[in-house]
Amino acid sequence: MKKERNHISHITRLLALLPAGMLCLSAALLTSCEKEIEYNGPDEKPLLVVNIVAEAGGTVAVDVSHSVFFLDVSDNSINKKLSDAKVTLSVNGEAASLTYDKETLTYNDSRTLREGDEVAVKVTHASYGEATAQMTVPHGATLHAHSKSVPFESYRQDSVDSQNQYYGLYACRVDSVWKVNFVIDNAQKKTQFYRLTISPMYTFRLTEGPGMSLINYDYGDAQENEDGTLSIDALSYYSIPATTSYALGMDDMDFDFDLDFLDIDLGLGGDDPDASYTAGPKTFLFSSDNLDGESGNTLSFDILMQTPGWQGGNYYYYHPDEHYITNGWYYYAYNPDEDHELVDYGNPWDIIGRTINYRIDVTLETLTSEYYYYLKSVDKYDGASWSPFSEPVQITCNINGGIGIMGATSTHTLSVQRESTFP
Amino acid sequence: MRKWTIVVMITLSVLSASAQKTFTVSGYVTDAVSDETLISATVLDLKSGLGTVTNAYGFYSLSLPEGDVELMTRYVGYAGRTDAFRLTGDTLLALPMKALAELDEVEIIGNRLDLGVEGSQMSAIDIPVEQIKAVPAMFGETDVLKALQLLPGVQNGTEGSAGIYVRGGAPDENLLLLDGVPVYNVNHMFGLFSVFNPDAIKNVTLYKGSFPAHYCGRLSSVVDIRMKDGDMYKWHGNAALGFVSSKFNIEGPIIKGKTSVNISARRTYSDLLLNTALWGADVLDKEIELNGMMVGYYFDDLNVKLNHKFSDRDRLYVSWYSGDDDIYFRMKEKEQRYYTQQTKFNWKWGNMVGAARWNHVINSQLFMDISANYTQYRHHMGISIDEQDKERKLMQHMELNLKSGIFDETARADFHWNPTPLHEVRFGSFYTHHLFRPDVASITFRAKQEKTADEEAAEENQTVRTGQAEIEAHEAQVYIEDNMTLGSVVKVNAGFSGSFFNVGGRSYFSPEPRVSGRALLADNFSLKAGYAYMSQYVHLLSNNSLSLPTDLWVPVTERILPEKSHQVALGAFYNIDNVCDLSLEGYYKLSNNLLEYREGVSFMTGSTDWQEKVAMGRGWSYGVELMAQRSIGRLNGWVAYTWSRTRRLFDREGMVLNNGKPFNAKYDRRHEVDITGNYKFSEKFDMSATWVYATGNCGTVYTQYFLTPGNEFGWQNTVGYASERNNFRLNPYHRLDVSLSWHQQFTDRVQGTFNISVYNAYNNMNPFLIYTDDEYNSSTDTWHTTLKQVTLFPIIPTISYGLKF
Repeated sequence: MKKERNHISHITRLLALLPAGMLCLSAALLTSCEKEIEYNGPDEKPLLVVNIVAEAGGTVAVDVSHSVFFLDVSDNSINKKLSDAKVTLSVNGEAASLTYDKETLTYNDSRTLREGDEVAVKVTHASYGEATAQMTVPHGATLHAHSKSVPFESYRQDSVDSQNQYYGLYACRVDSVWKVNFVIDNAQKKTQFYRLTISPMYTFRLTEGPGMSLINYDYGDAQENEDGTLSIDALSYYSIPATTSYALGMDDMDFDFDLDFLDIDLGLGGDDPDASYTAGPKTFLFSSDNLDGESGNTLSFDILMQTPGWQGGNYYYYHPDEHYITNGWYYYAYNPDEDHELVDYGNPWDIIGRTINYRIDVTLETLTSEYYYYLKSVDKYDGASWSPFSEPVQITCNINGGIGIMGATSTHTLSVQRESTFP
Repeated sequence: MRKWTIVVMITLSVLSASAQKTFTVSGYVTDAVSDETLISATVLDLKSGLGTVTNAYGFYSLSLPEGDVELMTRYVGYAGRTDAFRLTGDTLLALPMKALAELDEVEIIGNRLDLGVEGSQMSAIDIPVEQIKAVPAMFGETDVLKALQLLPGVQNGTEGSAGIYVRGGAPDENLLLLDGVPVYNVNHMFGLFSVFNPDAIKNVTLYKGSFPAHYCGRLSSVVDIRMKDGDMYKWHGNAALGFVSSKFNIEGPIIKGKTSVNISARRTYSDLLLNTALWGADVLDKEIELNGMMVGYYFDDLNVKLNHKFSDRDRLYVSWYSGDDDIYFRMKEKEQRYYTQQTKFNWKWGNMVGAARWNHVINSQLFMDISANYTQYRHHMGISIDEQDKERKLMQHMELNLKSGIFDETARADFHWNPTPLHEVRFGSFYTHHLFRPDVASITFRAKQEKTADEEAAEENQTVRTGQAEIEAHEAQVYIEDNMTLGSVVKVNAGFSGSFFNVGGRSYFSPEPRVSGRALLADNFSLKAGYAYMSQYVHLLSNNSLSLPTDLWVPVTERILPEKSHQVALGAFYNIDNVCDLSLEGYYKLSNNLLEYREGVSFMTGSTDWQEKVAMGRGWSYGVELMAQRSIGRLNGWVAYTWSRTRRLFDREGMVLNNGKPFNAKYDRRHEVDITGNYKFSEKFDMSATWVYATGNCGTVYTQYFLTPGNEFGWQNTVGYASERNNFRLNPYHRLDVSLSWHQQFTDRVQGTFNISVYNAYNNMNPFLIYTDDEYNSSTDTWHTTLKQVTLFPIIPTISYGLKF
């Protein structure tokens, strides 16, 4: 069914482009008249831009620049940093002595920020006026985890509907499902705003098979282990059960990287929260208000433990006895002495043992509310920027007299591990 | 206390009326030649000063004191008639009227008793179809909705669009009724034309506020369009050849004096011309490999109305409309020895509307109208590929279909009751079964392999369906309203409507009071006031700029609540010697649960539930509308001016727009001027012109670009900043359209009309959209950003020829 859905999805997406194509064609036919016009609207004058994103346990850097009127933007990388601004910063009422860093082009305070600190900034510039902002560094929530593995057969079929999964061009078979729950402890009795980054990592060590020695591995992210073997980090797929999807808020999901021009809504089941398979590090923005639903403070992720065999890199083994080289994830063995004649091919796991290590790294950042809304607005802006049909997005700012953002985070990190060995 | 005063006044008025013996005069007002019923004809007793207007079926009922009666009947474009007689009992009196054209007199436009100075109804305008036909039109195609756009308080959307925005409301807030049945998609050709063919239409009435209680279901306006019944006595018609389409209308008796039919049809033919050209090229030039290609676009309409008169008391009407837009592409590869392929693409959308109606005069005071209605809007996009491999004896067929639509079945009963000379009561109810089909996709694959030396015989047939399930909903309304005459000065139309909507186990009920009244301060001057509370249970998910066939009607849900509005209006109406009508109206409308797309959302992308794409908020609009209309004479027409403001506030948690602050609606326009004039030089030659001016639409422009804070790698992005949503106004819109017509009388019955129209006569480059354009200068290695404006329609001259027979 999943496969069928994918086929339908591709075709229907292509078909759904036709209206857009027809519209463009019609517009092209009708759009016979185009002319350059003068701008006669508001907000022509550039504004003072102040950006500060500080972290509890870190220091404060004040980034000061000015905006550029849209008709004056000469390219995409506007860089209008101001080094001649007058910047005053206070933490809990104590003024800071700021230094201007010519490498980072920021005004820096050397003191370490703590949770609950109150920070205020005032920036004055002769050409762009005065801007002020203040914030309180949030008290961070903590996180703990528990996990268990279940065989696929006993797993919820409505969440992962088939043991055979398809991810774009790749296919794999789900061996088991590792259910990982994170519990957020929020000591603050008020709404908190979070950014959660989950990074399920899939590390395997290539070992030498009988009568073989590893001679090279050229995958970009390969790491050499202490025992001389190599490891790569690969992306692991996971699905998010409905309760967590609900808690995270569907529209808060940071699936920007999954968006493409063909992703057109045809009501083909893409809105099923349980179908939101994803891979690799993902970031979610949500508030503690979202957690008051069915899920409590627990967020669940179901990591799909794939049967090995499809993941691999460009590695080379030498068979000293047989005098040939093996390479590739679907290996091809060539005889180096006889003009690289192909002598064998097959699944490398048939001849090479490996150990797989699954790890999930989680970072929970507690954010100031303005920074949270700012991040959400930037996220929407990025998502909308590719489409001329998208509604405009207003970037949330909290700088009085200017634009930009002053925000802070308190971070808590956690790692959970599971190890499996496959012969 | 005030409430009791009104009750006492009403009681006294009823008692005073019943103290004197009264009888009722009733019947139909019709065209003397064709027997076509005349809607909203005025019937006035000059002796008592009591009067009424005919209803939507041409029926009137007037209770008058016993004694001498002098009944004057008036109707647009017809010679008035006066009937004097002594009323001694209930009387059934047919009032046939003679059209002015036959009498060679001047034309009369407007001046309806219920809408003008004397009526209690306000914020309503009646437009005879002849007036609509006289308005100059784009591509020579006259259009009902575009004529409405020339009225105060009614705006168009983007240039050329037939969508209407009434008093700050969105296009889906308009209830468009064709013979009493809602039409969901009123657009042809992506909104350039409406589906209402003027040839099939008898009358159009627009209500912008103070809605009578028998209307419900939309917030901003009701456009009540009535189709022609058909001539009961002789066959006649017209045909026209236009720039875009050709059309014909024919009407006449099936049984003389008993049964008539009216048929109107039109079709665009650009696709026929294109395909003829393609076929010619294919045949003549062997080097062009067109592969039997056919490609095109057309729209068509068919209106049919049957009218049967059983007796003076019973009539049956059957109305039918169907119209489609179709984009198609077909390609069949030229026959090859071993392999052939045929590809078909079809994108079709349209409405089908049907109504069967029985009118029965129960007695001289009570009129009954019972109907069964059906309306649907459906959209279908399909592609199919057929392949035949003769060598392998393999045939394959792949087909994909996307469908959506809305389907309504309605049963309705309305009663008109005139119990005393001072009360015109109307009551009734309806029930509608809605079926929403948001999106359904199906893919079919069939393959047939015949047995060959290499292959075994095999057959495969597979169909997969996916998409949202159909949604059923139930809607009902009960209403009662009374048009009361409270003395010689005050007339009040007070009503109550109760609406009910049930979907997915969730029910909504809305009591909706309506009141509208006038104080007649002089024979030709009155003040009016009105209030209406409205609810709307269906929404149109649509792009604001263009009307697309993929626009989707969806019902309210548990999360998306019914839209509500309160509207109050005040007005002054003045008539100058029955020649010119002046009106001044002010309104304030407060709406709740309005929908807008959320920030960053695109109407055509994303795999998100539609509820996630929209935000709910509030809106308010207010304005002043001024209209001066000259009804009589060689020169007639109107001047309309509107000053208005429309604002939105979306500040609900999770649905915030513009940082929770108020902002201008996209079609907030401060000033709008519409001038329409017709001048009849002679019987053979007339001319009409319109000039429109409107403040530009609002849009959002990122006026400043700035750097974001660096990410974990120190990279900084550039983002755009707009101080508020809809911060920029496009240039003002103005345009002059001119139309010249020559009429030629060939015989007594055949007349030809040659028409030249010029749309946008002084070729003003009106804004359709603006965008920024980045141009690279290779010599200086720099980019230069400019602001560009796109204009859709420059000057467009068109010619057409029509025959009336």
